[in-house]
Amino acid sequence: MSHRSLPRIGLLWAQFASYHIDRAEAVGRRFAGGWDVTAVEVATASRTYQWQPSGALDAARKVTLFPGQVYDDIPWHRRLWAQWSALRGCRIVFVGIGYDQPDILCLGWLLRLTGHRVVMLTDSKFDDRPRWVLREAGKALLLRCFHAAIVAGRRQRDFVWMLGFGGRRAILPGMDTISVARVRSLAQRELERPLPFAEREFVFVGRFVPKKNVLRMIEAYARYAGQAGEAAHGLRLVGAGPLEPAMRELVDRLGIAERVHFSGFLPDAEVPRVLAGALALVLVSTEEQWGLVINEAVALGVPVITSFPVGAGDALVRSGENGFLVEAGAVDGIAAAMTQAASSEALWQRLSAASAARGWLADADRFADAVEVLVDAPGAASAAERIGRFEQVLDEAA
Amino acid sequence: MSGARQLPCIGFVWAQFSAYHVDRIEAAARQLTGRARVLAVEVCSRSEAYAWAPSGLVGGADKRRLFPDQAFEEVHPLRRWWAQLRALRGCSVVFIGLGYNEPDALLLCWTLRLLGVKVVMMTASKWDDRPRRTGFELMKACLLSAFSAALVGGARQKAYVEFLGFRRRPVLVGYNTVNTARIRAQAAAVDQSAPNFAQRRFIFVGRFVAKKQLELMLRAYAAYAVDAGASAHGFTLIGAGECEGDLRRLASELAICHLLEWTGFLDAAAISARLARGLALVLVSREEQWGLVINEAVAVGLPVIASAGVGAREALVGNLETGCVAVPGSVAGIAAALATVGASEVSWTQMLRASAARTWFADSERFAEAADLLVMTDPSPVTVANHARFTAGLLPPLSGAPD
Repeated sequence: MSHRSLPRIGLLWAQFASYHIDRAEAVGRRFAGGWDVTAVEVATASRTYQWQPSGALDAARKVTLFPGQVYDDIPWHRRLWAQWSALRGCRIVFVGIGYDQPDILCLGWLLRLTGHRVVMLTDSKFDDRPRWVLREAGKALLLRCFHAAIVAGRRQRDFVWMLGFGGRRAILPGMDTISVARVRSLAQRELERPLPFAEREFVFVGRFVPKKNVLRMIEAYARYAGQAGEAAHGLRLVGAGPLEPAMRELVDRLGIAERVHFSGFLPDAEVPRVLAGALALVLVSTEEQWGLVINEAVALGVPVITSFPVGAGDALVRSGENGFLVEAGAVDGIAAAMTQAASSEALWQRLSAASAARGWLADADRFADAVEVLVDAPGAASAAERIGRFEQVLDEAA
Repeated sequence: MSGARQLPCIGFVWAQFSAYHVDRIEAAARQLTGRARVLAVEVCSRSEAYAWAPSGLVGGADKRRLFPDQAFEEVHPLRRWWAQLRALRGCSVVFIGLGYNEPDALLLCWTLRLLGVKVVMMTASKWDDRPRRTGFELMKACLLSAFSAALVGGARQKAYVEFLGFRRRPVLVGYNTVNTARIRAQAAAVDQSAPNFAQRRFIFVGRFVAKKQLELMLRAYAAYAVDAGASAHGFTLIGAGECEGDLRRLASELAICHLLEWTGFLDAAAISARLARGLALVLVSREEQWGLVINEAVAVGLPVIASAGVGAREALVGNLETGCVAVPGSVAGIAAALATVGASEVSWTQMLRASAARTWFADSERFAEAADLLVMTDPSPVTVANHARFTAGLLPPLSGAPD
């Protein structure tokens, strides 16, 4: 059977990062031979993310609508027309671009009115920003074009339920996932020759922007290092951004320059290698829809110190088991979590093993499970059973 | 006419007064002395939901009980509304602490508003208390539009009330507070002994109902006790409720009966005394708007193990600082929290000190300051500064400039 005659599944994202590729590949593998999976990338670049241009897909067809162009520079009506042209032949379309873009709502309604099934992919949650019921009610009406939603976790599920999903408009988890195997293969050498406990550092990965709470994190680290003395583990900061001068100034002022290392922005392939040698990933944002770097840490068996606003904490972090949850504003609390994570190698080993055990929840196969259930493919029953297991974990945190 | 009569009258109304409500009214009366009269209206002396002892006098305020010796639920909402309206219509500002799910609360709010009285909503509700639907919330927002302002518990309550349309109306924090001095005094009056670390016990205080997740808590405690062996701390359960039989059976199955103490309901003074001699308060509810017993624990400097959903978490519980925050549905997580608090006297003592340092945030003076700021045009600089400090401690940090 040729590709042309197979029923088609469409996946749409603005720009592909490696984790979009992971999810498209996972879906492609799951439906190999039975469905044609088309992954549509709108543009090669965007103003928000410095991702490198994505490569080819093995298990799915990839279409880039505006090669070499920046997503934000393309007028929305041109994006709409191109997206519609690429996806109108699909039986079901999974839309992974925010509904704040006018072309996405138009596309959703166009597809809906022409008999397609349309699924929203989202990791928005109530506590991301101040909400107003009137605006949310309007949003709920506009989102009626979507037949179902694949969400990231528990808080996202509760939020889209408020927006009218649930019941016949299914809500399934699994959106914010990555290929655990890919991440582990990138760090294979580091995993085979693990760094000794004493040489491991706390690692932050992300943009140096206010919502990542990096200045408070550095203050907390200084407090930890002051208490730990000579035995203090270092802090490695991977990323770049407008706060870098303020961070460097703070590090100097706190007298911890010898222990804090700025790695600069690293390409996707390098991050797992750094993370694999970490004592713990530290991500204590004041606002974070999910935090996919936590999936990477879990894939590598690295403990996680994260804050309550970070969405990934609901599924991937259990305080005291594979890391610690802290209040984003609590410098002492973040410092206490660092102290605890570094307190003994035996405890760290336990945290690390518990983190690795959560890898299953972080994997892109969970996204493929959700797609399989919504497409109602032959393997949907076992996929539904796995989703049930995922939801049990989410319900623990409810 | 006397001088006091010429002062504006500030009304506070709740369905039934517990010691907490009396604390807040007395604090407000002290705060407003010489600037306003305080009228405290208790609708009924008892209710089917709470087994609180009947309240006594309220210092500094004029207290009126509208339906003495009757349960709140036994009185028809229209009769309650009429009695409240008659009692409160002479006030310039009325703080309504009845839930807005009560028809008389909404009716009272609208009628007072139409009579030109400023009406302030007091609430501990938050978005994550239960599943929400926009249509229902939109209707609720319309009904609540008569309120001029809101006095809420903390960060999540503020976000929820703003979601309901309080965007340009003032929303201040400080509702869920208690008189910490009263609690310390009660504890000292009953028992001044200070058990050593090994003798101290985990404590639960509350109704034995499903949302408190006592079954899960006992399973976690059993796991902790197995790991801790002979050094396991005991567990005291204060309260009663529909789940007690099941819980006792479970305790027997888990072979932890010898470590448990069931006290039944205790009065407020006895609870304070128990808390003061405890190891940690444990409150791992699946759903809890606030959890005022945490304020009581903090008042006597007790570490707290709470679930993430408990409303008091952000304000009064710092994970690994003043206790532990656990995932509400995770037996292993709760057991790990019990072990963290119970393992070492050194770290427990640090938590004890950190918990005591949060006492200021648990105190009903914060309620009085917020009420002052909402009703008076001449708050003192100390009031303004205290409220700013309180707000900074309770509300999550802003990320600053947009990224």
